[in-house]
Amino acid sequence: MKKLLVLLFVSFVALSNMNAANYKLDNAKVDAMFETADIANMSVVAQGLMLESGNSATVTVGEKDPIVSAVLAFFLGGFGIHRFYLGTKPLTGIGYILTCGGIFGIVPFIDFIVLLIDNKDISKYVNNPKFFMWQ
Amino acid sequence: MRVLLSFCITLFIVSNLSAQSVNRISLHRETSALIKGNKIVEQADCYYSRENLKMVVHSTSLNEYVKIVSSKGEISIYFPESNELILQQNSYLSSKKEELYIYVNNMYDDLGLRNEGFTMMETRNDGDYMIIDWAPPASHKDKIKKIEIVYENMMPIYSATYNFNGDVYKKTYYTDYLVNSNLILPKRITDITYTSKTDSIVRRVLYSDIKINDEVDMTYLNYKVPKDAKLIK
Repeated sequence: MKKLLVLLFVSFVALSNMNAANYKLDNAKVDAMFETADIANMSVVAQGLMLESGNSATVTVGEKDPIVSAVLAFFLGGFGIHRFYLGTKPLTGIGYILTCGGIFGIVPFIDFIVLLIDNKDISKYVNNPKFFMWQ
Repeated sequence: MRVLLSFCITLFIVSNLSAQSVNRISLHRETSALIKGNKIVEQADCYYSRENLKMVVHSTSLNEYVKIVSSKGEISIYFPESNELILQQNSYLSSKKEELYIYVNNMYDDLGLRNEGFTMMETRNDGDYMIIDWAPPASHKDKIKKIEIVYENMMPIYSATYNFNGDVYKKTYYTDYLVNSNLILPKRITDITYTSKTDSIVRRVLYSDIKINDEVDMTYLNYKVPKDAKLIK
C-alpha cells in the first residue's frame, strides 16, 4: 500500500510538471514521499558493486533489463553501479563515483539518455570497456 | 539586454563579496533516490580544499570508502574494511568537476555549465523570474538541446534539461540557500527525471553541517591511504 502511494505520487509529479512552467517544488511533499518509501533491495546494489570480488562477471545481453540499467544510470550513476550492472570492468564503473558530486552528473545523464533511446537493443553497451559509453 | 547587463553586474558584485575567503569547506551530504517506489540513501562527508584543489569524500553507507581527488583527475578510492585501493586518472574526473568546487569558487550562477563547455544562448524574463538558456558543447548536441536555468533574486532556483526533441527531460530545484559573506550554496537539491509521461524518478540531495576554513576537521583532507593497501586492478 505504501509503495502504491509513493508510485501514485511520483506519477502525479510526472503528470503535473510535464508541461507546466513550475519553478518551485513542494519540499514537504517530497520529504513525505521519501519517508514513506521502503528501503530498496540492497542485493541489487550489492550485485552492482561487486567490489569485494574485485571483478565483474561477463554477462549475456538477455540477462540485462535496459530500463533497470537506465534507472540505475540516473540514480546511481554517481556510484558507477549501472556500469557494473552492464558487466563492465570495476575500474571503469568506480570512476563514476566521482560524478556523484557533479551538479548535473553529465556522464551518467548521457548514458541514461542513450539507454532510454536504445532500450530495444543494449547489446553494444553490455561488457563495453569504454569509460564513456557513447563514444 | 538591459536585464542581462544588470544581472551580470549584480553577479560581479556578489562574486566579489562572497566566497573569496573560503579556502576549505566540509559538509555532510545525504543523497536519497527513489527507484520504483523504493529508496536508496547514501550518507557521506565531503571535504574540499581550495588551496590545493583537493576533494575528499568519506562515504559511510552502501560500501564505506574514502575518495581522494586531485585537480588533474588523479583519483584514489580506498575501502577501509577490505584494505583495497583503486587508482584512476582521467581529466574528466578532476576535482574541478565537483560541485563543491563550483560553489567555493563562486560559479553558482551557471551551475558549472560554462565549465562543462556550455554557452549562453538566450536570456528572458518570466514574471519575477529571469531565465537563461545554455547551449551544449558540440559533443552533446545530438542528445541535449539546451539547459534552462531560472533565477530568483539572482539565485538559480530551477534548471530544466531539454532532450534533442525539445522535451523537458530533467528538472532540478535548488532551495534552502545558505547565503553569507563567505559562501552561497543551496542546501537542498531535488532532481526529477521523466522516464515516461506517467512516471518519473526523484533524487534529493541534502547538505548539512557546513563548515568553512578553520572549522573544518583536517583529518580527511590529510588522509593517507595505508601503504599496505591492496591495489585492485
